[in-house]
Amino acid sequence: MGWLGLVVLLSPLVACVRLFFRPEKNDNDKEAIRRLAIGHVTVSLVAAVLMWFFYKPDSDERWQFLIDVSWVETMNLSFRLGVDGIGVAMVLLTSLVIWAGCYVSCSIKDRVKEHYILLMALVVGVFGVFLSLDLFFFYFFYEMAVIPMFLLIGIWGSRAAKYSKEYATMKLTLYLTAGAVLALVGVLAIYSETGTFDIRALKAHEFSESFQIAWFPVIFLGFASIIPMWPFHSWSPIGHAAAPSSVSMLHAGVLMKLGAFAVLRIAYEALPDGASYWMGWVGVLCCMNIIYGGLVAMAQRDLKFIIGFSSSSHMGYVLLGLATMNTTGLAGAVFLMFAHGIMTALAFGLIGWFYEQTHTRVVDDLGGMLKKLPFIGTCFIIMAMASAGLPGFANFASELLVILGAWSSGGFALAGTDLVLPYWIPVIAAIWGIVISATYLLRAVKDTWLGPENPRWAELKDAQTKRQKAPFVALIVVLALTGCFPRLIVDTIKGGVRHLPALSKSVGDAEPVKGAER
Amino acid sequence: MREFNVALAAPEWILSATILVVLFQDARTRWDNKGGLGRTTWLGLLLATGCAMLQGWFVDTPATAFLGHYGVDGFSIVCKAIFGATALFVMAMADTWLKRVDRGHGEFRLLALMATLGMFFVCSVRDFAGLFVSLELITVSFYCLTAFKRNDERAIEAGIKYVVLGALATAFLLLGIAFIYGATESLWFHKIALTEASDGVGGNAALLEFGLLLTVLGLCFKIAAVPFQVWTPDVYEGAASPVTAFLSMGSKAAGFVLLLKVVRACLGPDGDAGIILATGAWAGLFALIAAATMLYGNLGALWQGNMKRLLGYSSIGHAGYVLMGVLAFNEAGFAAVVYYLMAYLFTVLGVFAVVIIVNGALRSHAITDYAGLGRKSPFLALVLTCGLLSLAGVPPMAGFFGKFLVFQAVVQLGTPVAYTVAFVGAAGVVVSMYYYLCVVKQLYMVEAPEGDTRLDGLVVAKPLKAVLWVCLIGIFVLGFLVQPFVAMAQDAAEALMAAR
Repeated sequence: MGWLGLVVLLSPLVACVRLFFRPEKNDNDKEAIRRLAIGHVTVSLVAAVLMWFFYKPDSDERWQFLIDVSWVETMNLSFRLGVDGIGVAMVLLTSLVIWAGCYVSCSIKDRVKEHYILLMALVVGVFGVFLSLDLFFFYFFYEMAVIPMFLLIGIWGSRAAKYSKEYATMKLTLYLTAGAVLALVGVLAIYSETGTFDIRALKAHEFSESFQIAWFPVIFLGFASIIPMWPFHSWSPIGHAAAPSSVSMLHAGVLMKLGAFAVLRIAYEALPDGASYWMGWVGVLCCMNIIYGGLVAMAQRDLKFIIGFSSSSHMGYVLLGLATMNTTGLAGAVFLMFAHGIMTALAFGLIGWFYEQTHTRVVDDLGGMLKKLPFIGTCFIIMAMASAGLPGFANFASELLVILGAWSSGGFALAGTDLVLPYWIPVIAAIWGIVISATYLLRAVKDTWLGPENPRWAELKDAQTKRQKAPFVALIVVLALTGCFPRLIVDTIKGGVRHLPALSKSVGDAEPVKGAER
Repeated sequence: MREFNVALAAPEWILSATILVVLFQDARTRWDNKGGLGRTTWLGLLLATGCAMLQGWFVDTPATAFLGHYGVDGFSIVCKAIFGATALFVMAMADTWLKRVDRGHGEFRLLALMATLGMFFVCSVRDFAGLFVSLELITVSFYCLTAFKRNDERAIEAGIKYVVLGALATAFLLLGIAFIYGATESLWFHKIALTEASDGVGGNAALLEFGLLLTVLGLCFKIAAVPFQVWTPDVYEGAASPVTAFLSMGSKAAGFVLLLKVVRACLGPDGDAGIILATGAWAGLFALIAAATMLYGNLGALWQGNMKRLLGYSSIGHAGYVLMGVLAFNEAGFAAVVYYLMAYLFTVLGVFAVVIIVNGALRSHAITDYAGLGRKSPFLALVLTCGLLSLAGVPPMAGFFGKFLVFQAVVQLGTPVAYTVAFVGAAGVVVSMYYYLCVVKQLYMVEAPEGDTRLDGLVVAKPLKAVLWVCLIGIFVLGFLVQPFVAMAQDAAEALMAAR
């Protein structure tokens, strides 16, 4: 079944090459280009769903759908593809988001060909990261995803408050590059210890404790800037706000997950002792993410900034889940990555829909739009409810898992000091975070959709055709389905998480609270 | 006369013959009918390069000629292929560029051929005398080439700067060679490690180390590394674009080939790093040079508004990265250097090909004038973007894998000095990303001013179009389908280590 992963990865790549040789002269050509891109991502989506379906979480085979092609033999470098449960969830997320994104970006009229080529290149990079089992190719695809993003935001983006799109995209690119090269040095240090790029071999290799403690922060900080962890988060809301809708969707929905995924796949895999030494501090930083990000989101008036800061707030939960280092917390973190990806893609897609017509996203200028845009408005309200943690949606279930994981972690030892951060501090922060997010989301809903109708927006058009509605409906359905039946995805994720070497190494790790394991 | 083995130097003989033919042909044709010169040059270069590559199959390497002063091994063959390809690409650019110049076609080709001959010799030298002579053949040819636009003040200024600073560096080099001769009583590379002085004890040890220091500094001029990097932006800006391209690839690579040979010579017969260079001070020196070069180049490039100056600074930065490979002092590092040079070949020449075409229309090298190229000439913009991203080290471009190998070689050392250099290099990558992307921004995100039609309907001559395609494909192949090229680089490094 290894070819499934290859199909997922190659389908957008083939689209890239085919698009390159396509003419783009009139509207018919543009329509053909859109159809081609949508066709190829649909193939990826189908393959990803099949992957999820055929993945065996209970199997002793940790890595499934394997492909191994020797690339540079003398360096022990191979093109290794494969996934565990975490990878399956992320591939599924990516294929869903890019599928929806391709529909949403049908509204782009200028340089359509280049837009889709870059979008496909971006998604090849993202799929590559989630599928790679080779350190070299992991990094290769990771870096590869950055540059299409630069161009996509820079060319098709829009102004974000007082920042120009060029500023936004440059800031984003530099942050990500800085993180990536920092991580590269760490990855190479791992390679020079093990002598192989095979990620599967990392767990078995015994790294000395001093090596782990020295190199974990390098790799973690390198990847954490893309999560984005406070205080390296400032590129992210600006980047979200400046990007065109489909890119915001992919950026917030998937790209931010690359960082957390990389931490799990490389840092946790190779350096579990380093992780348990340092992750206590992440328990502190994630509180900053949750509370600070949420408070800043409250102060924003631009809808994309609100969702942007709320993203960095929600990613704080993911960080908290990572810091717990137990099955519940880690599974919750991955589940939240999935849920937040879908939710935030939905949010940016919807905002993009009316921004194209209103040319403003500032909530004070909007208002009462629900009458004109019943479909989009309803979707937005559902999104806001999901994001605010309404039971029945995946976000609630996953945040709950993270909080339970933090509860049962027994506290976070702060390396370098004798202090232990009691478990209830992040838990309270997380619960308050939900209250804060409910505040700004409900306010956004009120100011945008309810209230007196603004005569300026009398001409707004709602989504009418199937093509316009399909992406939003699909995302909502997935969000509700995994919210009501979390096992659909949590079982898959646990199939990957239970093999992680870093489990249960945090200080004072008690037996998981009964019931937390569902 | 077996030891002379004259036929072994066939590539050089072919180049020399071509030079003579061009010389006579130039004297016998009218000024407005120089097309034949181009054909002769092309033929000679193709034959010489082909011949050098064929030696890989038909010559039992390593082989020597001229009583051992001239050697052919796997390393020299790969390097000659690199130089031959460089010369061919540069000739394709020169064909286009010379159409804008009404005189001196013969001289230009002649000088370029002589520089190429020097580069071929560089690959094969086995002693310091050969090193000096072949290097001067390159350098002196470039003095003239730099000042080739004799009506252009900046070209003259660039030429003079290059001569004066070059002469200074040559003096360092020559003095260094004299000290080495004094210490080892020989000019052979391989004798360095065999003399008593190389043990680091005895009266001659200091002489030898001092001599090596001066030699390395002299070579720093060729590769545009600190402390002899100051000429680079000015000369790059002043010289004609094909010359700049040749300088940035050919001349720099020649410097690195020689540097590798000298460093290899210091490592001892079995490459066991048992000799002088293995001591911490030397590793520290190379690390210092590499780090300073990367910082100087990358930080200097931040403020450049002129495309050629920007490429000049970036070329300094890249010298620093290649030096990282050198300072590993082992086979992996040398293989990384060879790979980096191969990747740099396609990357930097692709960039310069676009620069020459755009400059033909713009008559300016200001980066702001590149605005809107992405709309007006998508293919040129694509090649330039891919080239710049490859320089920045973004996968799946060639430059990425070059950088990857270099970083890997350094991190593998595992010493604090090595880690420091690696982190400085990593910081350099981020900085360089910024200025390369600023150019990309001009191409795609800034529209050309209303009514500016200079970039409309750019026509690209066939040979130049071929160069663009080859470079574009090369950039991606060397960044992704790396196996054959890594094998080639590793074979070359192995041959270098095996050299006696």
